[in-house]
Amino acid sequence: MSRRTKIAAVLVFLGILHGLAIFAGFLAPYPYAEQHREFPYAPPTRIHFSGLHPYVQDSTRSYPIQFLVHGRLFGVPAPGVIFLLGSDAYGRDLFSRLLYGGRVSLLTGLLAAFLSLGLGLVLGTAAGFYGGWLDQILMRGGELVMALPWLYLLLAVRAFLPLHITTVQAFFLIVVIIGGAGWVRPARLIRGVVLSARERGFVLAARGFGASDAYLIRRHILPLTLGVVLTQATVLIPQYILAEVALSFLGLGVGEPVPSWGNMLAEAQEYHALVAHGWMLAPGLAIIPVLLGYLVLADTFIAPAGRAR
Amino acid sequence: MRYIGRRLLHGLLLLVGVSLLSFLFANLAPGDYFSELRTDPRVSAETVAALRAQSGLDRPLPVRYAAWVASVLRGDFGYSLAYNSPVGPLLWGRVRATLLLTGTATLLAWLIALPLGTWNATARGKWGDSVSKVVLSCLLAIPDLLLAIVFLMLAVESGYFPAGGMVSPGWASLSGPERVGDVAWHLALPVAVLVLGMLPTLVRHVRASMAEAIDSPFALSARAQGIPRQRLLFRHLLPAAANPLISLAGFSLGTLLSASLLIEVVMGWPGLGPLFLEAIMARDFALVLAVVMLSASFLVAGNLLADILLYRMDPRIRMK
Amino acid sequence: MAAEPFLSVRGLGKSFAGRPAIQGVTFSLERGRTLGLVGPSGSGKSTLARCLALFEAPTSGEIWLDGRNLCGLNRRERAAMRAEIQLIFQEPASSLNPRFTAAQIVTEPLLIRRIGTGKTRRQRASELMETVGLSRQALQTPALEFSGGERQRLAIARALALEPKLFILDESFAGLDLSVQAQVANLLLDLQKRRGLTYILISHDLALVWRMAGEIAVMDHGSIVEHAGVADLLARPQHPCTKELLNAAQALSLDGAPA
Repeated sequence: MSRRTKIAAVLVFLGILHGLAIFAGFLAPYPYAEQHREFPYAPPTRIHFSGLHPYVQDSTRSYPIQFLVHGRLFGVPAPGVIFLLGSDAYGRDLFSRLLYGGRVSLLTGLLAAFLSLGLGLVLGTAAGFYGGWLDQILMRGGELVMALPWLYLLLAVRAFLPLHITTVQAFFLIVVIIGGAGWVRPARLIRGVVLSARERGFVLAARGFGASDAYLIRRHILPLTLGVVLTQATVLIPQYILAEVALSFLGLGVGEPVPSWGNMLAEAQEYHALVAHGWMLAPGLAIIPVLLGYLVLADTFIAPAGRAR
Repeated sequence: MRYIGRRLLHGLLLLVGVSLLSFLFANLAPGDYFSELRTDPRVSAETVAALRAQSGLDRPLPVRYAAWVASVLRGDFGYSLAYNSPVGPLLWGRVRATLLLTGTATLLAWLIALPLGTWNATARGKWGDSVSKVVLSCLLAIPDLLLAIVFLMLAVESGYFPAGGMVSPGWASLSGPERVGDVAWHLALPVAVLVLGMLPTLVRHVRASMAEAIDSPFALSARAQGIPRQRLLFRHLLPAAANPLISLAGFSLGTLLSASLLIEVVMGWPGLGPLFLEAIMARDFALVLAVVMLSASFLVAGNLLADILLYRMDPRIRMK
Repeated sequence: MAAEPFLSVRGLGKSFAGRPAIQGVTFSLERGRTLGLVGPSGSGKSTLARCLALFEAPTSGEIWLDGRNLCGLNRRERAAMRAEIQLIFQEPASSLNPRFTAAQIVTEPLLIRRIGTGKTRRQRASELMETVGLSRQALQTPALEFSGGERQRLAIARALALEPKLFILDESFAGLDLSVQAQVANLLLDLQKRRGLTYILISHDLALVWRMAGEIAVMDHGSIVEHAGVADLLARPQHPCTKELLNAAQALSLDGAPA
């Protein structure tokens, strides 16, 4: 498979996964907080077919699966339930929560990566282009940030901010914390690119024509940073998704009742229940294809940097 | 020698900077240890203020920083309000436990990664390499958190491994070798999770470094001269690949204190991780600060060590 | 001489960190002529070129172009003067952004100085391409798809965009095949005849200098040690440095042109 095809395929794959999460509101049969107390830890509902029509059944009767109902893709009429991946201790549909949780976790990863890369681009370009004391300050500052172990930094920063905040606030807070802590490596890499780009002949020539700094940066130098930015994105996004999962797992991220893959995994820690109800691990398992996708993408980006075969 | 001195000074300055930064941040943040008390209607504002004054939380920042530094130099590392004791003694037992866990895991991971990565590098493109790559990639895509939970679940179900803790009850009454065995039994699962988490990146780096060394012109000419494989490997290739590997080793060492936070919390290993989490929830500044500084020191020391080793080993750096 | 010479350099000096790269450089050049600048490596040729092209500010001396003093200008005036003097670099590969199309490259000076509209600039791009002998079809081709000689033509086209009067060719032919060198040299000579351009040609290649220049200045250790018409210099070299250069050239020359 050629490199381009591979990249396209992976992007489509990732796009589908992210799309599933984004359209959680439509694809999920239940809102994330809806409880069915009469069905705690229910196993995945079995789907039967009568001809082409799918239906589910409980002890008394069967319920046809309806499509495009209540603004959602599918559902079954009450009191039937359709738990594609089973339910949790409160009888909440795991499949729905998985989708909604994915929205939180994946979106955090994307937004935080965007923040880190944006910061890194601005700071790295400034440091590389202007040099001098600006460069020194940024590099020393970066060293300070890098001297702190990453997860410890995140936890400490999160914890020293108010603990009792709304979920929306929590979401943006962790995006800012995760993204804000990670600007250093992108900034350094971009700085390197800018440093060498600054001396290229065509930059000097344009300067000779009277080009302003802004023009040089915009037209000649920034396009050269694209490669670094993309590769860093494929590395940072999965890292940040895991960071959100860790934070929420420990109770310092997004909390009840809004699901995130992290806090859902925290619920899975009822080990005696877990043994019998393996589907509680779904949020953890869902992370795997996402990480794989980004992994393959990262490898494909880096690959042509010549490996002797 | 001057280079080493300069690097040491640099590291020290870095740590001072980190301490300042952390201290500043911790104290500028809204809320402190007594904030929770304030929300309790039974406790009056005056009591809280008095408690604050008693713990010295109302003194100006520079004074508190100086007091803290003095405490660090004494070995106390500040005073924990939650535990009502100097932080120092609280740390050491936990640090030992964490180092035991990560040390064992890191050692094991390197012991596996070095031969595996080298083998892959020498047999690039063959089935062993491909299988390795696929398996390790899948491993890399599995979050540590998930592995930890799954392993614990299996432990609980099968009973073959303990479901947490470092020692079994009644450990004190065991004999020496039995004690070691008990700890090892408790270590097994957490170490397994850590090793599985570290392996993919490690093997990848070892493979890349060895591959580069193998492909280099001097290695090709050495092979052309007919130098036998063993000698080639140990006396020529390994030293050449050492450069990036030493940096990696420094990084491994540096993360000894911080790599296992999540796993310790999930699997109930009594290390720094759970302590840190508690301190955070309780807003116990001194404890949080101490743990952050300690792990930052390890990071800085690890990189420093790598720098110094590289300096000694690679004449090219000395030329600069 | 009845009027002031077109280009007049007096006592030009440039030091870097206290060490002089060029000092006391004095010469003049008439419009439409070509001055060849030769000398061993490190003699200050490139520094002189950069000073003349206003890339560096000289530490002493004056440059007069067309009756105007180039030193002591403020930024705006200097920027305006830069349009009159164009420097063609040695490496055509690096002086052009490989991702830019030919059209973007040759009109970049116009864009930077906000001259004209998109439409007029496109027209100008076509004209410039034609002037240097490149096909209009190639306007949308990215620079990296051009050969070395073609890229040098692009650089020249770009330099022509602002209608300069003085070209400084700093080793612009190095790295080009001999036949390509000949083509580019012919192009430059043609442009000179048609537009009355003045050239300062810096080169190691004495054969090239002999072909293109009307007069030669020899530099050594930062100053001009000899300056004469081409024929005179080759027939009766005065300075030991000049003699050395000629001897070395003869020893290596294939066609024995500078005899």
